[in-house]
Amino acid sequence: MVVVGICTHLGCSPSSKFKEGADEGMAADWLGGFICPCHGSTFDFAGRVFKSKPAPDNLPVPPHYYIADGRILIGEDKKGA
Amino acid sequence: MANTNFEKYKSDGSIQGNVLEWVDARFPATAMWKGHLSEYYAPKNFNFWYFFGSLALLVLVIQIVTGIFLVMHYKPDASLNANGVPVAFASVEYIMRDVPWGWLIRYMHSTGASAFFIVVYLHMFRGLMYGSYRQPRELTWLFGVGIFLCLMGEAFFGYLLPWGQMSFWGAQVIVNLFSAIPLIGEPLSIWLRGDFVIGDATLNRFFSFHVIAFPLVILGLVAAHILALHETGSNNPDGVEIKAKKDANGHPLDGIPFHPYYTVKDIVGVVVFLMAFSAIMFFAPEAGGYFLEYNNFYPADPLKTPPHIAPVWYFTPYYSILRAWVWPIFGLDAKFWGVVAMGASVVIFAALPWLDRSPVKSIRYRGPIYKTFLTLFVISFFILGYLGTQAPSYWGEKLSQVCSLIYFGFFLLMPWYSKVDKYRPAPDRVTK
Repeated sequence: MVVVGICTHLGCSPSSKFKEGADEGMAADWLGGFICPCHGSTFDFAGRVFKSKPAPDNLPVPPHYYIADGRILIGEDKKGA
Repeated sequence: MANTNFEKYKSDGSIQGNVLEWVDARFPATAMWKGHLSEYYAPKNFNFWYFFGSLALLVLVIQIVTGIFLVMHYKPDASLNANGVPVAFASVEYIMRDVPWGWLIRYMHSTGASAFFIVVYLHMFRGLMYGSYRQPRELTWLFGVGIFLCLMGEAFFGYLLPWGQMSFWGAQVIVNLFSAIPLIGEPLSIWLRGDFVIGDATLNRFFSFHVIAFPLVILGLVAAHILALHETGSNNPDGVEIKAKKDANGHPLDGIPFHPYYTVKDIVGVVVFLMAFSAIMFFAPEAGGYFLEYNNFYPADPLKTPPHIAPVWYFTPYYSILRAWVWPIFGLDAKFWGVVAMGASVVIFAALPWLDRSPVKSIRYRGPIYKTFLTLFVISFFILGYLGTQAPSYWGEKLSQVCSLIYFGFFLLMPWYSKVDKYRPAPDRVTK
């Protein structure tokens, strides 16, 4: 997954909460993803924001493409390559 | 005759007398001394609450003097030094550990910041209780609101300078508030930062604002605040105009010269204040993480937000109001309205002189409705302040919404409740 790690609310850096459930201090029905420590916005594994949270939008996906299987270039998007 | 100014003060022939005559012919030294101190008649019934204006002035002086010495050693530079620590952060540690008495100067400055807000909040509460903002003192009040706004800016800019984690992320969040403004928000916040994230450009401009721009404006506003006050004369706990009853010499019957009566009284306040101030500064300068936040002892890391961030205590009530708004309306998202509510919660103080329609000024003669509203307002302010220090939670959000409603209700319902409320007629003269 490639997204800009800056919360769309007020620009903090969401931290990883990958474990399902309440193990990492999240709610019992947590499916794993990211939480912003500033105002509690939560995002799923694709960087999509959950409803009724302060962040107005998903984490943006920057232009990027795969140079090789193990290398990506961020900032350029060469479609159909 | 050309030298009429020499008539103003006649020397008795002594050296001091000759000097004063020379100065007075060229500068209104005696006139200013009399007008603002020895013949400025203040009501004789000032109580405990009237200490905080002069204490605010004292803290301002402490901040300026300690600030001058801090700037001699501090470096506003976000680049990393040979040890991989940001230069600004390292220079603060250098002040704390290596500069002779540097720790004392810095703790005076950091404790002074919190003390400033404590003193100013008490000073403002005095104004609310005794109706000091009412006609004819509206301009004194407006200059005061201006000082309060600048003080908030000054505190915010200063908080970035140590370049710790809270400095960095606090500034990131607050500058991003401007990005909530429709259309121009995003470019505006980039323009304010001078970069896409908080960086060296931001640190340098905040340093400039903190050490020169805002202090200059604050000093000017403080002068205007005091000049306006001395033009109308001070209010008092009874909220009656002492200038209405004067003796044969034209002095208010209930007035006493500020100097020596109140200069001496204020010294008592200063002594008590300095005892409390020193106790915190020497024994608990971090005040349990409220005056200096623990996360700010980590250098700024643009890639990692600390697990729990909260503003310093004096901003938390407004921060709670910001978080309390969660409903998007009129096609604009909740973030924008949260920012609007937060801004309004500070600026609304300026409207007080025109919201209050009570026939009396002081709480002593007001009825139960005003007293209830003021009490609820103060309780809400404290609850909002507490919630602002806590991580967001479901019930915290609900409670902060109720308290925000009360906060704004105090102001917006005032034209109604101050009019219908019962009151006792204020006396002609001050009581005690």
